[in-house]
Amino acid sequence: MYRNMAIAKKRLSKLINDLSNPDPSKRRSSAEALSSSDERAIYHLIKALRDESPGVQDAAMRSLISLGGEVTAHMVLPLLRDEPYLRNTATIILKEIGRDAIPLLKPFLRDKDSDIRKFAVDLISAIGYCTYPEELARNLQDDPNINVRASAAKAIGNLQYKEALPQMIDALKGDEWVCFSALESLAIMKEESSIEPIISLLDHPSEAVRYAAVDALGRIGFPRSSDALIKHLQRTEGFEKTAAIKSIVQIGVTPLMSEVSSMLIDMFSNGDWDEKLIALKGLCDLKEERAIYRIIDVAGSLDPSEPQAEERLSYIKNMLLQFGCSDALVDTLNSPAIRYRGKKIAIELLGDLKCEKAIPHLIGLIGSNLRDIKRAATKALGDINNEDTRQALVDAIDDEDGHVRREAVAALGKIGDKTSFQPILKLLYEEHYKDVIDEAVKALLTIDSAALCSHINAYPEYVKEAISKYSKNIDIMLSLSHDKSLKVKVTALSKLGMIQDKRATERLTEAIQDGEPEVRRAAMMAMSELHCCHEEVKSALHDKDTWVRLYAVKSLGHSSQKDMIKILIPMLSDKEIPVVLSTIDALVRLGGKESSSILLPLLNHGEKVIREKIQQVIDSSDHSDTVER
Amino acid sequence: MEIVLQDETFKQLRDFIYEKVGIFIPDTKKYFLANKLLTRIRDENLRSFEDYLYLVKYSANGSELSRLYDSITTNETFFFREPQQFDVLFNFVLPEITGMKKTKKIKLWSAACSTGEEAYTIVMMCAEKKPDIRMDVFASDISDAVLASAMKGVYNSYSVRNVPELYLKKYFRSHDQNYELDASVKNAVKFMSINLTDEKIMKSMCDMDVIFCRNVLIYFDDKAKQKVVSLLYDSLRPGGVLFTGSTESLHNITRAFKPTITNKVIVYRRT
Repeated sequence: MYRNMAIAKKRLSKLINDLSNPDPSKRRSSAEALSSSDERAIYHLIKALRDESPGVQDAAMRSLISLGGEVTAHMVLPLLRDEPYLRNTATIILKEIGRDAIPLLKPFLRDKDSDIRKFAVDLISAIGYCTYPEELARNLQDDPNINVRASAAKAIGNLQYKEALPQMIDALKGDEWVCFSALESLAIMKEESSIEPIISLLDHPSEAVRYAAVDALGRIGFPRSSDALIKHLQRTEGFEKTAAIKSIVQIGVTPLMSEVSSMLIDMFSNGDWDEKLIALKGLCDLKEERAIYRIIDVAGSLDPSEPQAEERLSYIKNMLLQFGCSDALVDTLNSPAIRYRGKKIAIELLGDLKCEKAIPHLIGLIGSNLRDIKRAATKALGDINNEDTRQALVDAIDDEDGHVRREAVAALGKIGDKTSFQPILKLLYEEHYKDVIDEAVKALLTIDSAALCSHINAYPEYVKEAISKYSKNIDIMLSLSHDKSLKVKVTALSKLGMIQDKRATERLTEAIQDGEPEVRRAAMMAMSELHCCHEEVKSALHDKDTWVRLYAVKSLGHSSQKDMIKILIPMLSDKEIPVVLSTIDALVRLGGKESSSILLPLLNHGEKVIREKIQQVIDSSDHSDTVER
Repeated sequence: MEIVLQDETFKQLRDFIYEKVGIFIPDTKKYFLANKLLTRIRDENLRSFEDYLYLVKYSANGSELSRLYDSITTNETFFFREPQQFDVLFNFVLPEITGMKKTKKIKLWSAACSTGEEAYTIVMMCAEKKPDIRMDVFASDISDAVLASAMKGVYNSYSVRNVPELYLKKYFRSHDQNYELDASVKNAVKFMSINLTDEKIMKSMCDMDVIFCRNVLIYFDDKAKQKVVSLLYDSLRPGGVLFTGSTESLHNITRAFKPTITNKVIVYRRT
């Protein structure tokens, strides 16, 4: 132990010395490495904040943050009185240190220097925690400096210190700057009692205050603000009017005024994305069909390479679904001004809505030379699932595009018309894409399973594999579970776990002994669904394959038989972590709280993940004991 | 049988992904993650997301991990994306660096290159605008699938939609609505698999003059961003330059770089 301490001390000395190395890369490395040291490094790291290299400064800052704690906070605090760069650095460090810094900041709220008071208030606000919020209320009420009062208002809002509500409401009558901050905070606090005082600010001479008041009412969200906002709407212009509309929409009441619709359409077209989404909600509430064209256009112009595009598109589509199957939506299909991506979205929606009046247009679009349009139209016809589309879909089976063929086949499967059987069967023999084959098999099984399976042994492997995946007929599954192809066999065995039938169980029991590990694995996975055959499953606990053992453990864990506990305990010594973890889960399931005593010795296990798992089990067992008491 | 992603399993998957690559998946993306992983679950004949978690954590060759990465990142990108950054690179940054170094040799790294469009764009532009510069271009990504695609160098019309006519004619061959890059361009980029949060492997990328790391920091939370940016800093030689996405900022992440603005493009310089 002493030797280790000596080594550590020597290493620390070296690192501290290297902070003065002429090479900035070495100084930076040392500063970084000191993040895992202790308080002895703090002073030196603080010195390194003044290094000429920004890389060293940054590393020193990160290390101080990493060291954290009250001591670091205490030693960093004096930097708040230093030059601007170091002040900023100190605030970053203290903010990251967080709660440990809070007790040290209290005296600074009464500092002679108003900048220091403001830093302290801002830090408390940023940390989001305070054991003396009443002091902030004093700053709000009594501080001679307007910036400190404004910061205090903001901090109180962030801390949600509702006891300071009277002071906050009082602050609405004071300086504009403080009033503004108070409004922001009241919007966060969402107290109904603040509504009337805020409403009175809608007549304030300052545009900024009126704007903030409008915004706050929207965010607080009580319906009684709507009347005041509607009246305000009628006497205001420009961005204040836009803010009022946004707030009204946020509250959830949308007035039946034609100018509101137009404003919402305008906001949707020209606003930023926050405004677009609010406007969209309003347009949806109004069921304003005039906006559909614009919404489709905007949705179609989203750049799929932007990460937020997927989420935005999903939101827009969900909103558009609320409009239902409208003429306006169908009409977008024929508009030359809507780009193909927008049309694709409209087509998808029409499919989701099962919009039958769109059928003639969609049939026409199957012939489009735009790949995405063709595909979407085919799928939409499948979603609508109407017999009138059968011929168009049968024709689409011959399309050169695999996606179109897949959607056409899937659609015909849903319709289920027997006259589609032969065309799809012909496709099956000619098709080379796996996903199309899968859909063709699914469709044929739906249309006429007996006809498809009558020549099952003549099919190639990939067709049999698809049949084994999708068939629900036990005779077929049993037959395929003996197939010479490993893939087909394994797929069929996997499915047998979903069939509660003696023959299925027998076949699985047999397959657990198979020489091929993949077969045993599939059989054991399927067996774990059936919750039976525990004697056979027990024998699989010693299988050479990890996954077979894992699923054997799982299966026994679901048996509800406490005598399985003794059988499973040896599996805690399995060489594979997943098996051990599975065994722990199984023992907890079978033994309940008593399993803790079985698992306790494993707290010293060599694998961290297992130690953590055991600790979790023990902690939940302790917790439930406490709750029961 | 419906396979549902339970909250606890989602948290475990999220923690696992974060530990491996630093990418944080917020609660709001649980649905997207579940959808993307369901195909894998069905392909492997698994029964649950819990089983999938075992597979990805303990599969012998780690191949499932690579597929997991593919499913959580948006890989769509295109040639000549944010061209103003490339203009600043060739008109300002490279002349400055070659002037300082007194050599025409440049090491450039496209970190998180996805399907390679960024790296190939730079190679083509260098051939056209600065043929005297000898540029070693490295391109990396965490996803084996996108790297394989990048090395093939075949693209659809979406990827090439911003490519100027001159470049399209000179460096691409089109067939069947696809565009294949000329071998001279493909061979000019060295692709490698790199996890930006892996300190050991990042240390092997050193003495870079320019790094492009665009539209990938958004996937990380602040802590992971700080780690990645710190490693990128160490990969640059003094005077080297980092480009991030135009909607990204290193504000609140690091103060080690000196940001400068040239033609409205922010460039971060290691001083």
